[in-house]
Amino acid sequence: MIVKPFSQKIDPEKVFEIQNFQYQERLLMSDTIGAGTTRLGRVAVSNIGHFFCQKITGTFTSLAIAGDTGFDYLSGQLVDGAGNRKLYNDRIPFSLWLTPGRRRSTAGGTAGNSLFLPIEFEYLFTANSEIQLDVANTSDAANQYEICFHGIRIISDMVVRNRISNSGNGAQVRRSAYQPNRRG
Amino acid sequence: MGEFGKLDLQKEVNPFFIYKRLLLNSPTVYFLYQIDYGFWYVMRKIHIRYPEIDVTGAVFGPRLSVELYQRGGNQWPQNVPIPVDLFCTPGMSGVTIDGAARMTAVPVKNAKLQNIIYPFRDNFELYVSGQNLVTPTDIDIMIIGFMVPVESQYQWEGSFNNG
Repeated sequence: MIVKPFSQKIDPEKVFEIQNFQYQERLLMSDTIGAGTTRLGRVAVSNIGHFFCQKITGTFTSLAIAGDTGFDYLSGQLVDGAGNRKLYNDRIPFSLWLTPGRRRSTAGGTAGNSLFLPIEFEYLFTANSEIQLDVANTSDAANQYEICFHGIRIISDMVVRNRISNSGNGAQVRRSAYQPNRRG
Repeated sequence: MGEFGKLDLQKEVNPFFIYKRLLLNSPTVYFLYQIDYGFWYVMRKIHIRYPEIDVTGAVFGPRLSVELYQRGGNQWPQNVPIPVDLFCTPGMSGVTIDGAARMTAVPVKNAKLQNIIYPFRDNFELYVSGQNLVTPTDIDIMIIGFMVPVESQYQWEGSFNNG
């Protein structure tokens, strides 16, 4: 069966073949940083496969004892946990690299913004590694953040083998996984 | 590619964001960053912000401009210094500064794509001008870009007079 939603042919069999082994995924990192402290935020990439990050979005609060002031208290440096590779030269204030950025907190303050343009960040985090964020809070109150990493999950060979062995239609999955170019 | 080396796209290209806060204490201030050995740097976008209002409500109304300089190619990719908010985000709109020199967390929107390539050991150079030496006092500059590895480490082969 061929479906033509737009001007492009889509072959469901081939689409499902691809989706079995790579698909869109989002990883969320959220944390609360105490007043005047630093803290390492972590999110596990897990062992099912590599994670090819493409975009970053995020929000954070701007709380102080005086209330929601709207100032930029949080800054962070992103690190690839595998090999401890630093991906920024320094801690960077959150509002310079996160969209939608600051949001209204429970203490009030002015309204935040809606999502505008996700920040481009193309990097392959390997399976079993961690995405780490070294965050500092210069406020006299605790602040929260949530950062979403948008990307593609690339299933590892080990998971593929397990899926094949657990599949009722193993021969077909095996052929599509390892000889994708030979199919018509 | 000669002495700058051939790009090796089989190795891992990694994003690298560069941030600095500059103190505006001279008619022109310089943002300099030397690119690492073994990598080219593809600069994609520039995010810059500086305050237009201080905590007392006084309006600075500054009009800061920036110039890029590609030292490796001796190129100035603009005719005159360009006002920040014409190609960077978030600029100065709604940015205030508090007593501890923290700026308002205004959102970043869309910056103009630059796509300027700096070979390894080149300096990323950006000049800021237009202030009156009284206000504003600080400017935040962040560069979004990628480190691209080169195939050979030419700097160890003597072609740069170091062998």
